[in-house]
Amino acid sequence: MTKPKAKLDKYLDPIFILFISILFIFGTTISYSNYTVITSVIACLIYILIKVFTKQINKPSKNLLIYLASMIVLVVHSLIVGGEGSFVLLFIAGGLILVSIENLDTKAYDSILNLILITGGLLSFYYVFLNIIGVYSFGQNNLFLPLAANSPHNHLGDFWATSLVILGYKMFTKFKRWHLILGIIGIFFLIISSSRSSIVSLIVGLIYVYKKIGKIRLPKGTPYLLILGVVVIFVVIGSFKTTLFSRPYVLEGLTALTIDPLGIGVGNFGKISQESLFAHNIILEIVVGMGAFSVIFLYWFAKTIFIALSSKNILYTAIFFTILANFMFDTTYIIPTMFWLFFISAGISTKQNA
Amino acid sequence: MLNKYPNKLFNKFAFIVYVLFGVIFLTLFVLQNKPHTITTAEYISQDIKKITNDEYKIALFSLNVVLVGNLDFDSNTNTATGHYFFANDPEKNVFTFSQVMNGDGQLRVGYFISNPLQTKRWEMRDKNGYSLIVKDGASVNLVASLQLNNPQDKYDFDVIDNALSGVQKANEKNIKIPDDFIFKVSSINFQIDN
Repeated sequence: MTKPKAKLDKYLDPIFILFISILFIFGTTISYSNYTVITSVIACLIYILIKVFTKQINKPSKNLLIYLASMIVLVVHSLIVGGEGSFVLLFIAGGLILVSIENLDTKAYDSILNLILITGGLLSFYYVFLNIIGVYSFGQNNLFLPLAANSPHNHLGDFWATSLVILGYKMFTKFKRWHLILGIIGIFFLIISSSRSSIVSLIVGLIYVYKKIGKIRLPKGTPYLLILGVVVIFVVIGSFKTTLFSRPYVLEGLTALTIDPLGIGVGNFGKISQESLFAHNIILEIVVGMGAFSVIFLYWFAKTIFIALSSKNILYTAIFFTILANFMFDTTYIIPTMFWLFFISAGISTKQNA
Repeated sequence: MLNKYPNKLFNKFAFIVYVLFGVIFLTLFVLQNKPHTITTAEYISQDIKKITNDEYKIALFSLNVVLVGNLDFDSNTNTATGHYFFANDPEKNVFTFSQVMNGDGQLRVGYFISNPLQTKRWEMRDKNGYSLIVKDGASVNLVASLQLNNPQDKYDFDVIDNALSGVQKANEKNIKIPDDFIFKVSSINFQIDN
C-alpha cells in the first residue's frame, strides 16, 4: 500500500498546479482580484509550508533572494508612502510564486504550457459567448472583453501572444496539425483584439524562439515574411487608432520622478497622470512608485533578464520575454493571470537545470 | 490537461474540475454583468447627480445614453465646465457618435474616444477620423453619451419617480431638460461600461 508521504509527494505538485489553474480563470479579470490574489498568496504559502515541513524545500537561489528583498522594500515603502494595497499584494503573490516555482517538479512545466493553451481557448469561448448574449464590453481590466463599448481593443490578443509563442515553438520543433489549427485561431483573436502590444510581444517571443532553436528548416526568407506579416497587421491596426499622444506616460512619470524622487507609492500613477491610472509600463510603474528605492527591483529585473538569456529552457524564456514585452506597453500587469504567468515564466527560465 | 502528470486519472479529474470552475466563472460573470434594459429617465435620475460631481464632470462618455451639454474647454487644465442635459441618441445604434458643433458654429459628427483608463482626455473624431481641435476657451456644444464609472451601480428604480426626481435635480442645478428629449426613447439597451 502506498504510504501517505509518497502520495503527498506524488500529488502535491499536480494539486498545486490545478489550484493555480482554477485561479487562472478567475484572475482574468481584476474585478475578482481581491479574492484571487489573496487566495494565490494563501495557496503558495500552504504549498511552501508543506515543502518546508516535509523537508523538500530547496535552498533559495540568489536571484530569488534579491526579489524577496525588493519585495520587502516595496512593502515597507508602501506602508510609509501609501502605496496601493492591491499592487503590493500582487508583488507579494509574485514573490511567493517564484518560491513555489523553484520547488516545483520540472515535470510540471509541460502541464503549465497546456494550461496556458487551454486558458486561451477558454477565454476565446467567453469572448464569443458573451458577445452572443449581448455583453460586449466590461469596464474593469480583463483578458476577454473590451474596456469600452464600440472599442475593439481588448487583451485577449495579449494572452494569445503567449499561446502563439508556445505553438510557434512546438511547430518549429515537432510540428503537429493541431498546432497550426490552434495557431490560426489564435491569430484570428489576436487581430480582432486590435492590441498592438500583443503583436510586439508576439514578435519578441517568436524572434527569440527562432534565434535560439537555430535549426529550423524553413524556406529562405520565411521568418522575415512572417515578421513582415505581423508588422503589417500592427500598422493596419495602428491606423485605426490615435497614435499622437497615446503614450505620454513616460514623460509624465519622469516629471513626477524629478518632483518626488523617493516615489509616490506603487499603484498611484493616476495621481500624477492627466492621462491614465496606470503607467502602461511595469518598469515605469515601479520606478515612479518607489522612486530611488526601485533600484533593487531594477537590479532584479536586469539580473533575471541576464540569467534568462543564458537559460536552457528556450520556451519558458521566450514566454518570459513575450510577457515582459507586453508589460512594457500595456496595463496587462494589473490582471492577476498575466502577472502570475510573468512570475511563473521568470521563475522557470531562471531556474537552474530547468 | 496536465500532460499525463502525474497520471491519466488525475488528468481527467483535473480537466473536469477546470471546466467546472470555468463554467462557474462565466455564470458569475454573466449574472453580475448581464445586459440590462432601463429607460432614459431612469438613467437620468441616477446619474444627474454624478455628472455634477467634480469627479464626473470631465468623465468621458460612451454609449447608450447621450448627454447634451455646453462645455467650455480649458486645454491648460484639461477640464471642461458647463451644463449638461440628457437626450436620446440621435443616431440610435451608433451610440458613440455625437453631434459636435465647434466654436465656428460648424456642425460635425464626432465621437469621444472613451478609454476608461484615460478618463481625463478629451478627444473627438468624426467617422473618417477627423480630429476636432478644441481651442482653448472655445465653447463646444456636444451630444455625447454617458459612461458610468461604477459597474456596481444598480438601476432598478421606478421609472416615473426617478424621471421626476431627475428633472427636479436638474432644475436645482439649472439644467434644462426638454421633455421631448427625455421621453422620446422608451427604453434603451443598457450595458455597464466603465
